[in-house]
Amino acid sequence: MVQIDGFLRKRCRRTAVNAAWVLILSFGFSGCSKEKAFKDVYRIGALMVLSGNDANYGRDSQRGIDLAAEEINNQGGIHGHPVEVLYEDSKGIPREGATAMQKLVSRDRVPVVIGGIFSSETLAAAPIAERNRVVLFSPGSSSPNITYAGDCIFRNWISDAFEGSIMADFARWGKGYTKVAIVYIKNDYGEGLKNEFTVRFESEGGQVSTMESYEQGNTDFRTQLLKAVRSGPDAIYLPGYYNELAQLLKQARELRINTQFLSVVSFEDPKMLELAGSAAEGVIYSTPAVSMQDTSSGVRTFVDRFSKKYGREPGLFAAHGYDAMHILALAIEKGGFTADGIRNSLYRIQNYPGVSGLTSFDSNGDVIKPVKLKTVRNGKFMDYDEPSVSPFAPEG
Amino acid sequence: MAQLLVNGLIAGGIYALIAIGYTMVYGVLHFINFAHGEIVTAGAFFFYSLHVLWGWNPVFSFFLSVLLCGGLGCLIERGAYRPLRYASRISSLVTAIGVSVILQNGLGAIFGFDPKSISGSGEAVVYSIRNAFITRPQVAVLASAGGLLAGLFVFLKWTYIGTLIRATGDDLSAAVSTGIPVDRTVSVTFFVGSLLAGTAGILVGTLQDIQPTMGLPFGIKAFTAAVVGGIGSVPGAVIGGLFIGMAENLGAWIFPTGYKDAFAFLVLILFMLFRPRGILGKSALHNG
Repeated sequence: MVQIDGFLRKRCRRTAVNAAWVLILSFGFSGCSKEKAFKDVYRIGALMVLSGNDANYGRDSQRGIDLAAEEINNQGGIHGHPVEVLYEDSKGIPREGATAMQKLVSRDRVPVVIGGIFSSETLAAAPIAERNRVVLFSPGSSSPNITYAGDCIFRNWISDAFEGSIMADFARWGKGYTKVAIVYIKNDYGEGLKNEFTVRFESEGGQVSTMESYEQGNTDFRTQLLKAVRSGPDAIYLPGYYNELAQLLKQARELRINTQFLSVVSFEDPKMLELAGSAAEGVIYSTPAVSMQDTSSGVRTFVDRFSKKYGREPGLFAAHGYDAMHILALAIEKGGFTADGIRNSLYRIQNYPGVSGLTSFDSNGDVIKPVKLKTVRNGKFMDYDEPSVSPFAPEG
Repeated sequence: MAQLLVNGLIAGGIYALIAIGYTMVYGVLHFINFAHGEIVTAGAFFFYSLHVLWGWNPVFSFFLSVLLCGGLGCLIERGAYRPLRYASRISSLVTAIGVSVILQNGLGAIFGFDPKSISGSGEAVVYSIRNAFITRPQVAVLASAGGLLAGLFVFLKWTYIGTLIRATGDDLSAAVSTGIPVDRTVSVTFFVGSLLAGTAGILVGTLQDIQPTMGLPFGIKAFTAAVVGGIGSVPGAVIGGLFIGMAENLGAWIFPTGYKDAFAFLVLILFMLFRPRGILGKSALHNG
């Protein structure tokens, strides 16, 4: 079985006939002729950013998905059907995301697609999924717009609407801040979190002292930081990705800025600590309540297997990809390998104990996942616990 | 305010180093080498491989990387541009874009697209002047940019080969007919331009994380700087670089920061409208 998996993964692209031949031949040669091995391959699509500046997010997710698919196949597949993932590169561009989706739907005729990573590419692919009644399951998009993108659209990454509010509550009531500056990345992700945070924080009587932004891929954030500090905030909120945030924090350190930094889910990545080092120290961020440092057995097994297979620590993108694959396998197992079957059983999934958090879906296909606050202490991601405050008690 | 000037000066110094490559090549061949930004990336990655991955001495790694960049520049010229020297200018332009794509994705294939760090995660030593902070690598950037620029002026003004470069730039066909070894002169031009771009890449790499795609934005800004300064003019490239670096940082200070990248191009548009030949450019008559 193992050798076939390796072969399948290397060559994502093949026709069903070829796949069947390879299966038959390899089993013939290896002398292993379990009856279930002759069942059709379940092919599912994946569209994500696999090249260009932001390829690392998609690649990480891909590693998680591949690991999950390998585990599923090692345990005999889904009802005896091996799974195969067909990847299409969205290049992180919405237009390319739509093209990739179209390809997967009309050429490969898959009933379910995992993707995309960025909200903009998922939103571009969503109408095509809806029109063709194909399930689209995003392991990385956070825009509040995805909640209402359609009946066939699911995700296991929490919505900005949820995350932004939690951080606003914490800043206002947990820390007692009245003035917060925002330095955000200028795309759907950054704008979404900035808006949600602002609305909530100001409704609670806080004031957003300034909003500064930067482009994805920028490397110099000094002017933004200086302007944020000039507005005299109690804290600076940083919605963005670790690529830029790592450099931003280093520059803040060099400019001797000692204001408290607050950040978001995508902050927690091993790469963050590697790139920013001590500059990441003390940043408080929100994250799904299960994390890579958890000692619970599911997470431990995942981290061990992932590190062994790829020689690196998994980040949150990998964890979400891994969960997405396993959740879909569960849905296919229960509802059958059709878009309708998968969709119906996804809506019924409750409290799935994933490595990216306890996962349920609401009636919009949006994930419900407990969230907590963490921080960096002594070069490690740690739970944030200040005994004197209870972060989520605005009434208290 | 002092901090803004320091930040602008550093950004400008780097743009200036890269802009010189554009302007020198344009000065000689009247052609924009769009793969120039990728030499910047290559410089950073050569240094990353030698110093960080293989643990070689930083000074030795620096010089070797810079020379490798120079060599890479010559190689690109020899392989991709020389066969097209007398073809239509559009052909070389498209070839340059192709070379840029190949280099960028080649580096991506070798190193992966995720960001790497040359300086490590350690904290840089910070000096303060009045109320501005400047890190030791930033001081190094300013010092080496200044030193290199001075060296370049001496080279172009008072050496034999420098004279040849200027002569070829003045008139390519006249240079050929007076017996100037044009091929060799062009190679030297690419070598020197790439040398400076490679240096800029390493300097940039000490200030920020490096990625195979990092060269493109620097390339575009530096190209803008070269045009604003007056394309073909080396002092113009330096002034243009500093000008763009300052304009970006001051502009973002006064207006919303989200438009920071736009200021360089706003400056470019204003120059195109009111002074198309740039600050120190020769008059449009010369553009053959």
